[in-house]
Order: sequence, then structure tokens, then C-alpha cells
Amino acid sequence: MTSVADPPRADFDPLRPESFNTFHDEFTILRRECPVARSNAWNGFWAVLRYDDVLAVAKDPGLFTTGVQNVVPKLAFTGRRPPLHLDPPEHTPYRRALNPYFTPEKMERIEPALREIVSGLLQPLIDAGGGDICAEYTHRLPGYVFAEFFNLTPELGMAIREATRAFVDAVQRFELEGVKETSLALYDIARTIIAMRRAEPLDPADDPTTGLLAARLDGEPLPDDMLLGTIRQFIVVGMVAPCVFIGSMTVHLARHPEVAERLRADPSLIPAAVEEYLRLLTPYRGFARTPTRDVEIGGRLIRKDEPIAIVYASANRDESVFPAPEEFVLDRPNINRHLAFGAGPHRCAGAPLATLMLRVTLEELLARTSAIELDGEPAMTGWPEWGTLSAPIRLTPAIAR
Amino acid sequence: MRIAVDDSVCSLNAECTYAAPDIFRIVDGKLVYETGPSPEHEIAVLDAIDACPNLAIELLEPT
Repeated sequence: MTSVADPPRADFDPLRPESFNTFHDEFTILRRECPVARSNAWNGFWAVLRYDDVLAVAKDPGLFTTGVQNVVPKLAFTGRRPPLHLDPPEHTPYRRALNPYFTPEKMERIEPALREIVSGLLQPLIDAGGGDICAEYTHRLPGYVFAEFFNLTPELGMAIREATRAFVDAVQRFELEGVKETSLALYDIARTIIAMRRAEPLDPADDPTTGLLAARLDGEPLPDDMLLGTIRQFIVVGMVAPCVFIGSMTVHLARHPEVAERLRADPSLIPAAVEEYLRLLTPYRGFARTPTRDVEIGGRLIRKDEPIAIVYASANRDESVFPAPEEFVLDRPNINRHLAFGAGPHRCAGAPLATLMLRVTLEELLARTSAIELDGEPAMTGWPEWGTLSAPIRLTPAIAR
Repeated sequence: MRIAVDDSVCSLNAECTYAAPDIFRIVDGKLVYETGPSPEHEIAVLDAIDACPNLAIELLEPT
């Protein structure tokens, strides 16, 4: 009989040092042999690895709440932040206020400014013959895009980028005091943005902060602390995933020059390439839910209140849904079923903007270079992300056309 | 075909406007859509129904 003092045997260790392939190599075996896996790290959690199980958990917010813990390891101690930390129906008004800023028309309107940002950051890196694409490009891009999207000065965008970098560093080192301190610094920035828009509102049709301030729920404004939490949440989700993902994508292109060549020869394939890369190099493994009662998944009993990681990065390589999952395949018939942006009510609100950033990055990177090569080993993030923290690459400029 | 969107759960996620742009649009912060899409839009509309994170789109009557 197992006593309370004996935790269940661990099936994997999320703290093992990693290189580019180790996580997927290990989880390919786990998905087959132990698709609902247990770890004793960070006070213990379950990891759900198969596509169907991940989808079922993500789509059932009544049974699996985000209100307790939204990622593994648990990091949020500084307050409730809509929309992610709320379940429907409490969650719904925040998404209703934010989602209209991500329509196809809005994305079309922001694309030229975004392309200018991308080109302005990429060209110096190409002129220099390469460098760490994470430090020189992917860590800067989202700050500028965030500033453009929220109608802020580029200077404030970069201040947000620096504050977010300090936060991510603390998360990666798992320094809880540092996480708390840097999280509170991000709250200060969110407070500044809200104060600016309260003092001088912009057109709510074009400015998400003004729109949130104007939103009404049963005739009342959204509560101040929840507005603040929403902007704070937007800052961090907008910054982190694009950073790690673009690095991973560049590493894959460097290792597979035939993919780069094919996309250079026919840039109309790039939108499909972005979707396949999102599947193949999914930047999140540690989004979490907590069951509100005992539940059985994949033959294992998970007790009420035990955290569950829904491992999108594993679900997207489930061989029963995506054959030859470790391969980059451009014309998968079911590619639009990938879970890189999650599923259910918490599916990424910013997905259209992220997809646009990725497409324009690939278009400009490939058009402006003739070769992309690795120049050292990439360094990888820990949980809850998956992807590169740094990726040294050499870039050969395109021959002038 | 006939469809209906449950306004009480729609969070304007706009996934349907990407899957079936001829049928669903967001105008002034509100979802507008055709309740009776013509048969050539069937595949796109079924994609939109699948894509909705809140399962807010109901197929009342197939083509």
C-alpha cells in the first residue's frame, strides 16, 4: 500500500539538461509507453501527452480549471490575471474585449509596419554575417511589435522587452523571489500604460487598452485590478513564445537547407511552412489545468487538485494524428488541427498576430539570405516553454537582385 | 445549411472569420454572420464550427 509519504514513482524528470532533440526523443517513447506521465518535480504533477487527451482536457474548463495553476512549474503568485487565470463565464468578457483586435482586417492593417520592424532588425544581423538570432532578433522583435500593437513609443516597447527578459531569466533559473520582483515590475509597466490611456484615450477601435477601459459588463466597467492583470498578462504572453519559437525555427532551417531552398524558390509556401513549424516546434509544454474532482485519463487516476500539464508540444507530434511527426511535411491534410496555440476557451488570443510575425520573419529572412548555418550549439529553455534561449547562426546575404 | 451562434458563449475569438471569411465577420466589436450559407461554403463553415474554441456555432440543418 502506498502511504502519503511515498509519492508515486516518477516517469520522467523535467529538470534533466537538454539539447535540441532530447525532449522530443524522450517524449516520443513516453507517449507510447506512458501517455499520462508522472513527475515528482515542483511538488509533483501529471503530464498528458497524447493529442486526444490534451484536446479533451483543454476543451473542458468545467472539469479542468485554470484558476489554480496555469503553468508547470507554478510561477504566478502576484495576482489573478484575465483572461488566462479565469474560467468561463467569468473569462468571457475579457476575451470579448480583446479578440476584435485580432481580426483579418486588423492584421492586414498592421502588416506594413510590422514588416518594417522585421527588416530593420534583420538587416544589421545579416550585414554582420550572423550572430545569436535570439539575442539580436527574437528578443527584440516582440517588444517593438507589442509597442506598435498597443500604440506605444518604441522606447516603451524596449523597456517592456528588458523587463520581460529579466522576468524570463528569473523563471528559467527558477528563482522565485526574482520571479516575483520582476513580475511586479511588469505590473508597474501595465499600470503606466493604463494611466496613459485613462488620461488620454485613443480611438477604442484601434487601441486595445482604450477598448478594455471602455468595455462594460452588466453596465459596469471591468474591475481595475482585473484590467491591470489583463494588460500585465498580455505583456508576458506576447513576449515569451515568439522569442523561443523563432530561434527554434531558424535552427531547423539551418539543419535542413533543402527546406530553406524550397521556400526561397516558392515564397507562396511560407504560410503553410509557418503552420507546420508551429506543429513541429511547438513552444509550450507546460500549460496546466487542475481537475475539480478525481478523474481518470489514459487509465491513470488523477486526484482532484493535482496539477496536470497539457503538453501541446507532445500532442503535436502524436503519430496517430500526424504521421511521421518528427518530419517537416508541407502539405499535411490536417495541419489546421495542430495545437500550438492551444484549444478551448483559452486558445491563444494573439494567434493571428503571432502567425503574421512568423510569416513576415520567414519571408524577410529567406529573401535577404542565401544560406543559414548553425555556428554552435543552441541553448534550450526549461519548462513551461520549449525552444531556444540562444542560437548562434551564420547568415550569408542574398546576391543583390 | 442553417447555422446559429450562441451569443452567450461566443467570445469573439474570430477563428470563424479566418475559417469562413465570407460567412463570418466582426464589425464594430460584434459578430455578424449569414444564418443560411449557400452550399459552396459548406466546407469552410464546417471548418469554422470545428475551429470555434467555445463551440458556439451550431449546425441547425446540414446542406
